[in-house]
Parts: sequence; structure tokens; C-alpha cells
Amino acid sequence: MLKLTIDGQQVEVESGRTILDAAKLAGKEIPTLCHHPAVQPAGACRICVVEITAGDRPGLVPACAYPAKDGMDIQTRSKRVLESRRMTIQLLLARSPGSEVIREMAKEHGIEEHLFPAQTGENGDDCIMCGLCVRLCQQIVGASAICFDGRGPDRKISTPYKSRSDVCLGCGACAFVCPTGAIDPAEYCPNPIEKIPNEFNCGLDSRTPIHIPFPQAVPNKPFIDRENCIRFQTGGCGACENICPAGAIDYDMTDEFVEEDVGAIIVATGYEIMDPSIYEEYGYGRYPDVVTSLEFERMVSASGPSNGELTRLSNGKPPKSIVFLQCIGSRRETNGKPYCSKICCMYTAKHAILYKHKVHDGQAFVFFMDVRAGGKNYDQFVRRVVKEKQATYLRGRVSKVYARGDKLMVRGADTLSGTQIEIAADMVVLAPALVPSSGIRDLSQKLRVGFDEHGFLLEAHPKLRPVDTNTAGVFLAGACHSPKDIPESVAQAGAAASKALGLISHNRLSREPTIGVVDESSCNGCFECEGVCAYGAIGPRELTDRKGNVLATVAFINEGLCQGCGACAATCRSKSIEVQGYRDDQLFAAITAIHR
Amino acid sequence: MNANTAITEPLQSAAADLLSEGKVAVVIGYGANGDSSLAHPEFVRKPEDAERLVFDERCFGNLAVYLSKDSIRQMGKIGIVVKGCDLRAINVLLREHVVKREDIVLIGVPCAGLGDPPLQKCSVCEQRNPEGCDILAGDPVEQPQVDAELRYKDAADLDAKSLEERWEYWRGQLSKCIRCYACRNVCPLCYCKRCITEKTIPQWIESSAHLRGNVAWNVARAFHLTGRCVNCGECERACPMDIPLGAINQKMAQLMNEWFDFQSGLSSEEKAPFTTFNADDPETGIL
Amino acid sequence: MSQEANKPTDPSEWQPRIVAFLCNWCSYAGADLAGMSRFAYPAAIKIVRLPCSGRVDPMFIIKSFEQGADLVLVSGCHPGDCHYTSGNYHARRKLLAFRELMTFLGIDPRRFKISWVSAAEGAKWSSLVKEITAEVKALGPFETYSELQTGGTG
Repeated sequence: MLKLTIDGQQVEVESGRTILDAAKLAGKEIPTLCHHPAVQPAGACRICVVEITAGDRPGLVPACAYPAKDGMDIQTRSKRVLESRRMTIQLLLARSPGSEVIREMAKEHGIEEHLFPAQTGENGDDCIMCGLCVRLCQQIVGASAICFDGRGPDRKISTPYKSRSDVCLGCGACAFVCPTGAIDPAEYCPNPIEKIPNEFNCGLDSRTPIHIPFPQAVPNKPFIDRENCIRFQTGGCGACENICPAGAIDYDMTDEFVEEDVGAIIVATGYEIMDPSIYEEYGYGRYPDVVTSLEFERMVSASGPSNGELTRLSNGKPPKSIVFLQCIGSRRETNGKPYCSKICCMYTAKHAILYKHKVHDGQAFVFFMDVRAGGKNYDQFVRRVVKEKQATYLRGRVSKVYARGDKLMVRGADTLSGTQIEIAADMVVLAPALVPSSGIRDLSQKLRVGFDEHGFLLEAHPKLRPVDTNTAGVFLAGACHSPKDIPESVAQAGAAASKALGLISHNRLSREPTIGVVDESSCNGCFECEGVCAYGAIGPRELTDRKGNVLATVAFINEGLCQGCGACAATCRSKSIEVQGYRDDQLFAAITAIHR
Repeated sequence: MNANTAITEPLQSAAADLLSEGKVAVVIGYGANGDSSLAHPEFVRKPEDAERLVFDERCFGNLAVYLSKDSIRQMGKIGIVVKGCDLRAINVLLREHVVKREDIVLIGVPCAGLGDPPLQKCSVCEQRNPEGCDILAGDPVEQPQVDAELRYKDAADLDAKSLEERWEYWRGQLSKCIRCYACRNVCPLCYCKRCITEKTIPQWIESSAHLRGNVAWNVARAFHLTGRCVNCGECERACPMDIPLGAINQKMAQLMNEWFDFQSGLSSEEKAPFTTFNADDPETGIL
Repeated sequence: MSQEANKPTDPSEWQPRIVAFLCNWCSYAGADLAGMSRFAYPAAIKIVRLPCSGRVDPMFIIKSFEQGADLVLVSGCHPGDCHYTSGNYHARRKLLAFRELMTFLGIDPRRFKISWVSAAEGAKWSSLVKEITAEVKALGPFETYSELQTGGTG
């Protein structure tokens, strides 16, 4: 172990590590541009220079490349270091005047005046020659598709002979690692590079094939999307395996089917939002600035595609006026969903507040039909939004959204003042109807749970049994049952969980007695009843003599599963099944009594 | 010699072998006395008795009816002589778990037609050479192409009449029924230990031989056989009152074929139409 | 259930007898809703409640005719909505086949109706019963079966 002092702080580091490693351990931040933990350091950009004051030849050295030595004394922000760094930044500013990254760095270092004339045209380039792309492609991806070409001012990143690369995999690792975003793999790659839309961010940005689906994922580990992964498609790359310090990547892992015997199932498959592009009058899909509420939610989220900075998708500028449209697809008798999607009034109020947080001088409008704020403190919340002039609420519907110049004109009615209104908006947010998650019909047939015409799963009784289904042991929670918000979903989930626990925690089940019973003396064992039972409640039962010889195999009804529909009784030709409460003799009596 | 008698020899030797090798405890087949016009069922337990077995155009009777009798199943493994029509009934018995495939040995006999003159059902027979048997006694016979429509001719002829005409016809026919249950007893698929007619609490089907109860009985039997009956025609042949029972079963078989593309007894795996459904089954006439 | 408004029953006029087998979850609930919503329909119909239309055995229908019914109705949930998932699919196959059997024997198929009425269709139930009552009134008593009352070989 080596002992060094960085900015007066003692730190111990393994031999073979760099000053930068040691600084990280000591919690000292040193800016870098051409450094990436995955590849060998190059010391190319000179931003990370630090001053050695003792323990080695004194002077400025690049922290990322210089090996730590025992007894070193390092200053990361001495006068010499800062002067050098600032000069480097000035030179970079001149070279890459348009680069956001360099400008940020300049701001952080208190640089206000540019010392050198900005290079534009051919000499001005966001590429700062750090060589990270080259190193990554060579050392990690293993393709070596790009290299440095030329000398002096003509030096640039290129492919051998400046021709289209034969070996570029289109993995995009170079673009990923480039500190200034200067490299475009499409220039080198023989195949068209398709960006993979990030599903969690509604396709507003792209993701890599290996990714953690969203920050709150459980388990919070990345997984590989095989269909888009270069390794699985072509056998090349393998960068992730190379770089993983835990050696956790195993390309040979396969999907596993797990079978579990369970006594209860809770269905909580949630919702999706309807695609509003069918309503052409709102321009979703035609105008980039017309977005859905879910897209808006991602755009304002700090972990979203723009890190929480709200900008217009058309021109990247902050939207100074925003119009929220409620009930897009909901509460419609035709060409939409007849129900209210429940959560939109509340989240729109929330979005209005978030919008004002991001754009203080912005104006928000909400076109609504009714404001549904029935939960605890909900109405007060919406009132706040209206009263504190966060948003102007207009009661009416919007007939169309169209473009004029770079604005979106939103034409709607304000029924309370009896006027037609046209608002010039920078952004329009649609609140689409909630629909059950796709695939719900298949799942519900497997579970033998009913669903309504919208696909929402059916509860056993709308008032008295809202989390049970008609199938014993299967419970519902959340939006798969009907649109609802988080507190209600949580409450339903708790109810479903306790119902499930109630089911499996007793020694005995109590249930309705109207179930089928087999008369084993007359049952022929043909099992046509088994064929019609929707619940799989019928199975074979062997009748044996005292010696254990099987005399006959007859049908047996599992009283835990039987729901008492009587399909078996109707199918049984020998009338060997009776449904208690609807027995043959009872029905016979009813029929004969009618005509007395 | 009638072509069918060329089957008798291989049949007898196959049966004798099965018995002497202990592969079956009994061979059920046909026996005939001299010039009797009807073969009778034979239950051969010893190899030397196999010479009692015959096969010729007198071998009416669907021997599959014996496979559901407890007293026979208790004997052990069963060898059974099957014509094509009988084999279809056995497929249904297999599907309905009445016997297990491993407990029976199927001795198939090719059949060019029964009766002299040949029975009407034989003129539309499409399974003269039974398939899937363990042993085939004798050489295959010619299988002529059969017009599928002719399969259901008896039913079609009646369908051509008006509703009133049909009621007149069936009213007359079903009045003759004496409730002897010969149709049920001879049918291999009527194997219920307790028939619905024997249920008295409640009594859905009146037991006396009056027209009202006769209608209920024949409707019940036809309905219970829908999707199962293989149209072997034994019920009609057995009826002492010459009621054209085959026509009713043909009608239901035609329905199953038309609606669900189903013919009973072609395989032991296919599910019966009344135990399955399709989301787009016919909905005609539903309000 | 209420008599059709403003129409007193003439005791000399023949009143049809209709037996209806309704499934508990849809059609029976629909009939119940008709009652709650005060949709009037003729009192000729008598309801037998079953858990599911799949419980219906053709023997019920035959027995109903034998006992004097002029019309039998079986009503269940719409296909796809069966409370027990598939009972009405089985009923559909069997009852339509049974009606064909009746027709083949010469028994008037108009005497046996099948319908799908959901728990929300109170209005449909009421208009359905009005419609079938009118139809059976026009058809008259079910003589095919009433002639069998006397028994004896025909």
C-alpha cells in the first residue's frame, strides 16, 4: 500500500494505481475529459493536471495517467494547477466553442472572457482529440474500427483509408463514451444504426441494449435486451463483460421457467394509456410538441430523458405557455372509452405545479370538463393550483390543435364565459384514457377470471367484494380492476393481500355450499364432466376394496375449487352429479309446481 | 365361398394364439350355428375353442357392447373381433375411459358388407378395413368411395318433409315403442350403470309405454348419444317394433358434422362436441 | 313482475304458460332489474332460477312441455361473459342441437326460445317477454304436447 497526501489529506492506495484513483478515494474531485475507467488512460486532454510538491519530481502531471508513489504530496487546486487548467479550457473553448460540456467547465472555473478567437468551420470541432473513442473501440469492444488520422491541425478521428468501416459493429460505444458528444457512429458504420427507444421514457430518448429498465426497478440490476444486443446478434463487442468489475455478465444465461404451487394469486397488472393519435384533431404524432401526460411526466422527471429540464421537443427551448387537455378518450360514448379515467384531473394539477416550478414565467392552461378531485385533500390541492394562479382552468373542450409558425394554436370553448378561446401554446399535454395492460385477456382466460368489454377484470361484487374474483383464490388489486390512483391501489392491494392470507391461513375453508357432489355408486367414470368444468375442479378418484384393489375410478369434485355452476351436472348422462341447492328433484319440483 | 369366410381361418388361428400365449383371458367374437341367419356372440376362453369363431355376412351385432360389462372386464385382458363400425364405438369407449387400450387386443376383420341383401348402412360404409387394430385377420377388401351426403340419407329424407308431416310420422312410430330398451341394451355406448330411466327421484322419463314418455325416452337417448353415436345401426336392427331409430341418430350426427366438423369414433383422442366449445359457435335463432 | 298496465285479464281468454330457465348472474339479475326499473311485462312467464345456463338439461324442457308449458325460454349471459367462464358456451351448443332434434321429430321449434340477457338489460328482458308472449298467444296452446296428456298409445 502506498501512502500519499492529497491537498493535505492522507490517503492510502494500492500500488499500481494512479493519482486520480487516490484522489477519488480521498474524496477529492478532479475534472477529466479524456478519462474513462474502462480504458487505459492517455493523459491527452490535460484537464486533470495536478501539482506534485514532494515525493517525486515536482511539476504538473496528468492525474489520470501518473502512477501514485509512496510519500507523494499532491495539490489539486494550487495556483499553478488552476492556471494550467484554465489555459487548457481556454484552448478547448477556442477549438470547440459550441460544446456545452466545455462551456460548463469554463463556467465552473470562473472563466468569463474567451482569450482566443473561436474556431469555426472546419477548424472548429467538438472533438477534443481525447481519443476515448479509439481506445474504447480497441480495448473494450475489440473492433478497432476507428483511429487517429493526420497530424497537427489536420488530426482527426477517422477510419483506415477514410472509407466506410468493415468492422464497425454499430454498437455506439464510441458515442456513449465521448465526453463532448462529438462522434457520430453513423459516419463509420456500414449498417444503419437504429436507436433503441427507451420504453420507460416513452421513447423520448434511447437506451443501450444492456440497461436497468428504470431507476426503481427491482432487482435494480441491468439486463440485456437480446434482440438489440450486438453480442447476441453478431458475436462482436462484449464490452459489458469486459468492463464489469464483478464479472457478473454471463452471455450463456437463459430464461428459466419457474413453476410454483400456490394457494392464492393476486392480479395487479396495472394499466397503460390509450394512444391518442386516433384523435387527429389534437395532432398527437403530427406535432412534436403535442405530448401525452406520461411523456410530460418523464420530461419533468430528474431521471428522465432531459434530466428534468423541460424543453420543447421541436426546438429545445423552454415552453413559455402550456395547455393541458383533459379527458382525451375518456368519458366518450363513441370512439373512445365511456368511463372516467379517474387520475387525470389530479395529475394534471400536479403537472401544472411542476411546470411552474420549471418555468417560472410560464403560463399554464387546463381545458377540463369536470374536475374530479374526490380524495383526501384532493380538492384543496386543485383549488391551490387555481387560486395561486398556477394554472388557468377553462371549462370546455378543445376542437382542434394546429400549428401557426412555431406555436401550436389550441382552439377550445370556455363554457363558463360562453366564449371560444384560442391559445398560442408552446406545448400541449393530452391526458389519455387509461386502459388495462396489454395481454390481460390471455392472462384472465388462464386464470379463469372474467373481464368487461374494456378488458378490466371483474370483481366478484362491486360493493361487497371488490378485491375478490369469481374464481376462488384469485384476487385483484389496482388499475387492472378499474382506473384508480396510488392510495386506492395501495388500499386495494392491502385488502387483496389480507384476503389471500385469510384464505391460506386457516386450516379449513368456508365457502358457499352450492357445489357439485358426485354419486359414486352410479358414476361411470366417463369424465365428460371434467371436460366441461371451467375450474379444473373435477378429477379421478379410485374406489378400492379393503385389499387396495381398484374397483372403479369415479369422478371427484374438489369442493375448494367448485364454483357451483352445474355444467357437470347437466353433462352427466346418468345424473350422477347434483349441485346442492339446485338438485334435480328441486328443479323438478319447481317445474311441476309452476303449472299447478 | 363368400369372401368373408376367407377371414375365418386367420381369425381362428389368431384367437387361438392369443389365448395359448396368455395374452388375453377371453376372445369375444362371432359364432354361427349351421345355416342360422344370425351369428351370435362367442366368448372363447380356451385355445381349442377358437374354432367356434367365424366371420361372414351374418355377423351383425356390435361386440363392443361387451367391453363395458364388469363381469367381462374382470376376466382380464380381452381380445375382441371388430369390424370397422364396431371399432369406431371402441374409440369412443376408450375416450370415455370405459376400457384402457392396453387391456384390449383388437382383432380387426375386413368387412365387405353384412346381410343378404346387404344392409343399407353397409352401402355407405367408409371403414371396411378397420385401422389401428393389433391384428388384422384376412386380406383387406376394396373400399369404394362413398358420397358423404349418403351417410345421412335417412335423416335427409325426413328433413325434406314439413314439420307437421314429420310429427305425424314420428308420432306414429314412437307410439309403437314398448319400452323394451333393446336399443339401449344393444348399444355399446349406452353403458350407464344406472340409466336415466331408472332414476325415479325425480322421474324425468315416465316409464310406462305411453307416447308422452316414449317421446321423452327417445329424445333423451338421442340427445345422450349426440356427438357419441357412431351410427352402427344396431339399435334400429334390434328394435322389435321396427322404429327407424337410426334416422334420429343420423340427424344428430349430421348436425355435429355440419356445425363442428366432427364425426364420432374416428379417433379416441378427439373431444366430444358437447365437452368443448368455440367462441364463434353457431348462434342462429338466439334472441 | 306486474301485469301489463291497463289490461285486465279476461278469465275466458286462454293465457299462455311460459317457463323460463334463467341463469342467476345475468338473466335473472336482468329480470330483477326490469322489476326494479318498473318495466312491465306479462305475467305469463314463470321463472326458474339456475346458477348458470350451462345447468340446463333438455329433460327440463321436455318435462316443462309435459307439465303444460306452451313455451320454454332459456336465457343466460352473453357469450364471453358467463360468470362461470364457459357455461353458456356449452349451453349454446347443447340447446341449439336439442332444438334441431325437436324440429326433426316434428315438434315446433318456436316453442323453445333461447336468449342472452345481461344483468344490465332490464329493458331487453321486458321487451323480450312481451315479444315471446305475443308470439305464443298467436301460436295458441301447445297441442302437440297437450294431446299427449291423455296418455295411451297414439
